[in-house]
Amino acid sequence: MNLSQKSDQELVALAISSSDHKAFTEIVERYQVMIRQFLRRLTAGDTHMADDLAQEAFFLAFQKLYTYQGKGTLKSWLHTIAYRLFLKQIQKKPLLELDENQSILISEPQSALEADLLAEKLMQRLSADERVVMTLFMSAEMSHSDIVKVTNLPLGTVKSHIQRAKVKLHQLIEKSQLVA
Amino acid sequence: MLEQLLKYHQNLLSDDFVKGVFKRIEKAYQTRIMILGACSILGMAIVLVALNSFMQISWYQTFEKYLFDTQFLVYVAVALLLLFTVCTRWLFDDGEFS
Repeated sequence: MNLSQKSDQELVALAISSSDHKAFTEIVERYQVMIRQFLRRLTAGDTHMADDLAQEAFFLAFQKLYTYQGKGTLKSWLHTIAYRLFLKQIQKKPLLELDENQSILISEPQSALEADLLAEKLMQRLSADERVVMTLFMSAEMSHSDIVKVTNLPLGTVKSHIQRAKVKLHQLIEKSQLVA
Repeated sequence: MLEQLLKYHQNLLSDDFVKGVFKRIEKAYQTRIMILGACSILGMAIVLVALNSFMQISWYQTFEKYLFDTQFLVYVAVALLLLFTVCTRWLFDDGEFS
């Protein structure tokens, strides 16, 4: 049985009905990059916290898999769990948000690692809500309606957060010195 | 430019991450087994105390002759062991881990 060719819904059904973990392993392997990157952006580069939250998100997903009704995509459902864990985490330990007026040195990234580090550095200038909607929209390539489902924010608020975050980041990039 | 900057760049595929997830799942399962085990032992202790009290009042006196019948005691012991095995198996077999 080739699990990599199965749809998300088929994998969920298999993971719930069978006693082995192959189907759930496939789900983790399929979405680990997306969820880990999502949380790295939200935590603005705190890789330890992000990976810990990502593991907790998959653990919760395993426990609550039977509640997944297939109304939204599995991608949205997993992002919702990860986002809620992130919200809980920042209640305990508030985020460090840097002054948006302060310029930063932006150098042309030479590798994928450097490019991600730069994106995480940019996220430090945004509020938690702006980070979430911006990451879901620009990085996870979700539609506005999917972002509404994940964040539970009104559509107008989602759009205004995206707009405000874009303006902030454009201004920051303009002010910053781009080193080639 | 912003879209290019913000997209995910690294492919963070890691077996250690997957192992970490399953370690958490297994740890939670072990904790649940321990709690269920402790509750079962407590429940059995309560049943034994209750039976003992009951036996001292009337059951023992009524069926005193059976208590001294070795063959009867063997049947009862085997039946109780079978019942205990079936109940334990039913309690712990939830199909999550094979």
